[in-house]
Amino acid sequence: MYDVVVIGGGPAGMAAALKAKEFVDMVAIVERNEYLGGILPQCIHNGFGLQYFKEDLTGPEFANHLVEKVKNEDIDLLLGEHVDALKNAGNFKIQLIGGKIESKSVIFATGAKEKTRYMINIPGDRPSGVMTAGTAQTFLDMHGYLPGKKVVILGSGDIGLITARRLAMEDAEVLGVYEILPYPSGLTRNIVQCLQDYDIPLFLNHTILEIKGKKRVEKVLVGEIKDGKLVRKEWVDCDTVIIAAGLVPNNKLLIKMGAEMDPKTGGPVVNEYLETSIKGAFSCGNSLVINDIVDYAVIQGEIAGRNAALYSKGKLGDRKFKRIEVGRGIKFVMPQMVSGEEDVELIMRVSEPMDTAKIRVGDERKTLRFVNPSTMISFKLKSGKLGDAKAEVL
Amino acid sequence: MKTTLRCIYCPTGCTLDVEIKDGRIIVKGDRCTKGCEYARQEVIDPKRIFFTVMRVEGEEYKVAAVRSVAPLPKTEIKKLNEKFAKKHLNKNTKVGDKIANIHGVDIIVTRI
Ligand SMILES: Cc1cc2nc3c(=O)[nH]c(=O)nc-3n(C[C@H](O)[C@H](O)[C@H](O)COP(=O)(O)OP(=O)(O)OC[C@H]3O[C@@H](n4cnc5c(N)ncnc54)[C@H](O)[C@@H]3O)c2cc1C
Repeated sequence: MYDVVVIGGGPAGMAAALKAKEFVDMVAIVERNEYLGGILPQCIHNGFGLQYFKEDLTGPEFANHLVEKVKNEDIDLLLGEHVDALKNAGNFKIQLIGGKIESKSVIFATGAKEKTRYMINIPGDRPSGVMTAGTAQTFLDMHGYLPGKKVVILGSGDIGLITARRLAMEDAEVLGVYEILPYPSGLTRNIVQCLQDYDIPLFLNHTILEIKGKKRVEKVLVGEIKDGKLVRKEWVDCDTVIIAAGLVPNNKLLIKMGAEMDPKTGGPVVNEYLETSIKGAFSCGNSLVINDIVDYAVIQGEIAGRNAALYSKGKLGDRKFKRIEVGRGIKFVMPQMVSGEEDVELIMRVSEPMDTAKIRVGDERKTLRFVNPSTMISFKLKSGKLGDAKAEVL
Repeated sequence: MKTTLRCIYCPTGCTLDVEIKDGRIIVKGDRCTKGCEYARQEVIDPKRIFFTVMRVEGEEYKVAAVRSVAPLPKTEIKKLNEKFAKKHLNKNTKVGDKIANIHGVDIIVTRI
């Protein structure tokens, strides 16, 4: 019988297992890949760990720091394994391909999936050469093959920007990044160092209306949208379309178990312990909420790890939680349930771009400059300040 | 001369107002010392961390990843990439190994 089983061996899952191990003995990580690290090994650029390790690392190096620590601990690593079914019967009964294990608590750290062409509905032919940014990145930076020579990128998410830069470095022609919103969804630093450095144009208020091609992509119809109306359209010759339309939390197992989900985050509803509506089941990382940077995912992992361990020992305090009411100007707040009994770091996004945002949660206030929905906001709510539990932009 | 930059050091992405006056560089808007350093460097000689993938002897479907331990001149990044793309890494190379030195900056292996 395990005290804590972590599903997913990415950065969030490894951090969760390491933290849990400080409190309890029997800890395991179940990971479907043959290696730990999640998405990080394929992110060969720098920019990881500035907050957590106070060092500017690449993805593989950030992952390695955690992998080394995990391997030095007596944590069971069930690699190349897959959770087939999970039953909650007092303890959690976890059916793996290689057998059944049991645990007092579970942590879901299953990461996210990229939105595909079919999730965002681009009509037209179905030739080869249409792929997600993560797939293009895998071709290029894991296997060493250029996925296309004349590339159009749909969506300005960070993965798309980062892939655009690598393609340009490798002499592919990146014709442009087309973003339907009036502002980019990736981080500013990536607009500068990925697009501006390589003279890649960014077309805001633009989208792809149709893909044409018999065997391989031949051209795409791009359109400019203003106030919901199509004002201009044009065919662009290309051989590859890369979709960088964002990530969706991966929560198949939790949904099957009947956990309450938050349609705004795509993750489960959690309290400040990062415990879901199913007692003893915790969540962290990109399966909880899409994190801009890995540091946040790791911090959530540590919170979930500590609390799952305490739960397994019957030592997790029984608190009364209030649901945060999401008001004007706010897209979501995570955790959704807060007690007000201790300081808690809320993660939120605003619903539209603002030059100055005066944010209020309960009796706490914070003013931020230049925020838009693609900036993740961290908001410290001190104990005793929960007040009416409402979050809004004043 | 006055110019506005967006800092790329961390995800905060501060807006930096940079003024060059009588040979001095004045930076405003930075929220940490790294922002100020970045802005000064960016107006004199922009630099970036160089990273790329390299083939490994005997491997057909797997590439190793490398990076520079300090930033290198931005204008040289593409040339460097071409240079490294032509080389093969020895298959006994390990993560952390130094494989080259460019302008006094080590290039190290980050994944193999
Ligand atoms: C291309 C790209 C570039 C990025 N750039 C940066 C950057 O510059 N700086 C930065 O800080 N962050 C960056 N990020 C974000 C960062 O990588 C993520 O925040 C972080 O990886 C999230 O960690 P995670 O552990 O939640 O998820 P993941 O890393 O996705 O790990 C989830 C793990 O769960 C496993 N899993 C899923 N389902 C199951 C199952 N049923 N059974 C067993 N195992 C399962 C998966 O195989 C995977 O290993 C980038 C992300 C991407 C994709």
